[in-house]
Amino acid sequence: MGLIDHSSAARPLALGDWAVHLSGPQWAVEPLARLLAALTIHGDDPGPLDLSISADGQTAQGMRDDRVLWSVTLPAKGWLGLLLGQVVASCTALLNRLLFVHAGAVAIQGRGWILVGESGAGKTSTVARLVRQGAVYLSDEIAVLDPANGTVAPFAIPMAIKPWTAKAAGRLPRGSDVIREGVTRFRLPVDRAAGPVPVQGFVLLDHGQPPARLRPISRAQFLVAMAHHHSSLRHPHRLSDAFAGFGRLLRLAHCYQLASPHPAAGADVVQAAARTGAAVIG
Amino acid sequence: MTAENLLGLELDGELVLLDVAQARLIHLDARTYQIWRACDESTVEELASGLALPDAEVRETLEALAAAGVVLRDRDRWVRKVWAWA
Repeated sequence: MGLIDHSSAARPLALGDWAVHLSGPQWAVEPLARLLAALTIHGDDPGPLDLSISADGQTAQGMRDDRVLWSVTLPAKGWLGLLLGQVVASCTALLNRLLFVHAGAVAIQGRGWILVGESGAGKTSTVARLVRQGAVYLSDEIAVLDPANGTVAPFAIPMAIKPWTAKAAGRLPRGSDVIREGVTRFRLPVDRAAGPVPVQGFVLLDHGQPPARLRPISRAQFLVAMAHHHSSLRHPHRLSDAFAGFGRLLRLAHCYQLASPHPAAGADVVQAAARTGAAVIG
Repeated sequence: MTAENLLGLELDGELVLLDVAQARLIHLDARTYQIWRACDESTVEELASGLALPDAEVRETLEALAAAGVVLRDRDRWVRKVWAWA
């Protein structure tokens, strides 16, 4: 981290219904504020988050109502991505009504597609290719879901594009690189959803042999599989209502498993399913 | 286990149970759900006859459900644990 500029900054951010207050060295606060600038939370109030970075840039902590939620030591490389992750984790942990799942999400023809997968499963690459092909960006990391309305909402943090992500996605969607940190480009697509869209499909991302294949799975199977991924089901205080809420959402959507040798091929079959409504693609 | 500790969600003829205390989901496919639903202080033979299924299949399923903690065995009779819809 830079050690030359010692000026401090305080940045209150109004992210829709969520208030985040950043404080610390200006060289650390400003890029984080830029990463969060497009994020808005509507329909829930996670409560204010105070994120302070120490003057020497070595540590950071998140607080709510004078209670420390987390403290982290910041590495010399990757500190910005780590802090962004802490903000995202704070938000998802503090949601009261909305649900989340670790997933990419896009809107195709006005309908939401949620792509659930572990880190490294190709969420960002698949989302990038879908957006380049005409889908609208909701998130590459977190799907925020409203069980009462059956919708998925934008969670517009920039896509974290690493060299291998870009290679897997092919050409990146139209947008701007908000900031770079090491080899990671934080890119915010231009084509972003303005608000929630109805859920249409839930897709489990999996690796598979060519050709890429999208096959329907039962909603019950999907729910059980989703429990293995980070979601509101992992928060004990949300367990029962998340279980019921995910059930309501799944009833409104089709569920699939995508077995794909690479994200580009996977994106193509998701695109085809979304546009044609075909049950099995590939 | 009380009703508040075991919640059920029916999805397309299958059942997902949430064991709240252990924060785990239990998936019952359509056939298993059919057997589980019929467990009302019944014997294996009564269940098999009522569902027109082989005794061995019903017994094997019940033992798996017992291992998952969602049915109880009282001598030779099987009963579902108390549960509620989510």
